[in-house]
Amino acid sequence: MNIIVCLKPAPDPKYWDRIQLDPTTKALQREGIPSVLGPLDKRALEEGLRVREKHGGKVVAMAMAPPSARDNLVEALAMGADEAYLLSDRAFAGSDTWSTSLVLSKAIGKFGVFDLILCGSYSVDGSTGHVGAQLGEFLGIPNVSQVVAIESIIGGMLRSRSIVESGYRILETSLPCLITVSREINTPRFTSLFGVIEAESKPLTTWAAAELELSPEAIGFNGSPTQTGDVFLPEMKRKAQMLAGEPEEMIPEIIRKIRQALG
Amino acid sequence: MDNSTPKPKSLSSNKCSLLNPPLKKGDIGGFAFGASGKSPLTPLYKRGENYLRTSSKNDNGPSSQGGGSAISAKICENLCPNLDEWKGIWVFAEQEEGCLSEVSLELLGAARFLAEKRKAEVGAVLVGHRIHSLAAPLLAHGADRVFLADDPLLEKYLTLPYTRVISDLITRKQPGIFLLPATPIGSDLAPRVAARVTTGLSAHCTSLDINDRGELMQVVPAFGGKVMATILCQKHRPQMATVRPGVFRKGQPQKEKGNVEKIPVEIKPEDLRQKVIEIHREKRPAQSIEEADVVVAGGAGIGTQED
Repeated sequence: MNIIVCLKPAPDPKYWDRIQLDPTTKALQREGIPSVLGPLDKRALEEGLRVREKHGGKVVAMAMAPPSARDNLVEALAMGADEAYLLSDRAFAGSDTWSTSLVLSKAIGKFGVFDLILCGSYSVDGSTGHVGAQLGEFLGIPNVSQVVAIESIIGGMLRSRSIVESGYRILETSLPCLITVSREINTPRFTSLFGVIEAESKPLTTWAAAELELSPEAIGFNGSPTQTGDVFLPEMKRKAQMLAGEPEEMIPEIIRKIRQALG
Repeated sequence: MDNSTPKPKSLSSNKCSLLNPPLKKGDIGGFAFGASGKSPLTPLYKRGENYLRTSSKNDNGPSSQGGGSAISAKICENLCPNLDEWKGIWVFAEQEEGCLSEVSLELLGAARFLAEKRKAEVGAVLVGHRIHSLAAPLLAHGADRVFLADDPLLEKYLTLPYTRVISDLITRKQPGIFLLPATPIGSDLAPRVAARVTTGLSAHCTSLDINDRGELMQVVPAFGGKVMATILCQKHRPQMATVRPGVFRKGQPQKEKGNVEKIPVEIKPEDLRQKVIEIHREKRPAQSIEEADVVVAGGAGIGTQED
């Protein structure tokens, strides 16, 4: 089976307090914050590795990211991916989910064959959760969102358990298909020293817009149907009230405040 | 703060779990296991189809661009030559087994607010099977028109059939705004529809408003809420957004004064590559934290667990 895992290296949440907003240009300053694979990205990769262990084949990691994300793809190779592709070009900057999905779909097409595509349900930074379904649309394949378990892959059909509002449901989807994974699906493995050593000799290819036959108007800022307007850092203030006294006095006061809050 | 509304009666049971025709190996979309290859339906980028919607309503013809040449079509140019023609503020009315979800009525409240500013009609898109009775509460809570798509193949939510029906409707009726709930169904359906009709979509909006240019301002959180951004979709229609339950309030039910429009359902064979095997409902607590108006939390000061 050819399994493609789409990853999104994003600024490390540990350093988000360093994110600054330039008040004049409204641009987010996030230089110096290293990028990491999100927890759902790792779970998507882990699931791809497990499918390969069970059914054979190849796991390919892909990411549309700046050149600095190369390390994250090396990490994916160290976890066990067989090949990695970094889709990197200045022209990709400013992409929203539409143009990101477009770039990924062209890269997957260039790669040529696939049976199963795995993505995380959402990324830690943008958290839209849209790229999976949009990528499925551009590739013309069915997608299943928020999968918590792949139950079986038999006879070209993938049986999955996925989250719905009231619980979960079991779907059967014909391959090739795309699934987005949720937190509960697995616990990702740690990279081993052997994996890190092996990663050095695995292919990591970089593709730019020209190699993907994408013209500048169709990608990045120009190719995004959504535009970002005003950006601000909200202030969260807590209204704290301390009550003192005996419990018998405080209880009616608390009840009064709750009643007040309920309006 | 009373959130209870008499729920429409649950439809008489038609609990057949497999209304979709079962797929056999060899059917469209079926693949011999291990035969990794391309989908029999050539993906869009190879077909050379200009998946940028043309200004004409008929977008079935492939463009002249071959699969190998660069995509030169400019996404931002001439897609919606007349944005003013795209009126109408629509809401996706999510229902499950004949029960309308509360968030659909909340979104209608938001749509009404936007409609006052845009002087537009509010539409509710209702998709399923034998769900006529759900039109009335939608009309009562703010819809001027309910677009009803009723078909056995739509009884249970599946991405492809619902995307097909709704995208066709959008192409025909040209709404200016389309709101969906940020529920598991809405979050799966919205991006697929937005990709199919080539428009922008924002996720988990915490507020919606209309600016001086008549555009929809969609405020969304990023970086876990550390950053808030206002998203616009200036050159494409409809402007689409998903909204979490509880962000807006539903209005008081009024006298219904709209009408129901049945829409044609044309599901293609390639939309039937999935089927629902089983739905498993879990018992939920009476009220979840997100739904509560007031949350009372106790810390170590309270004493022991028995207290």
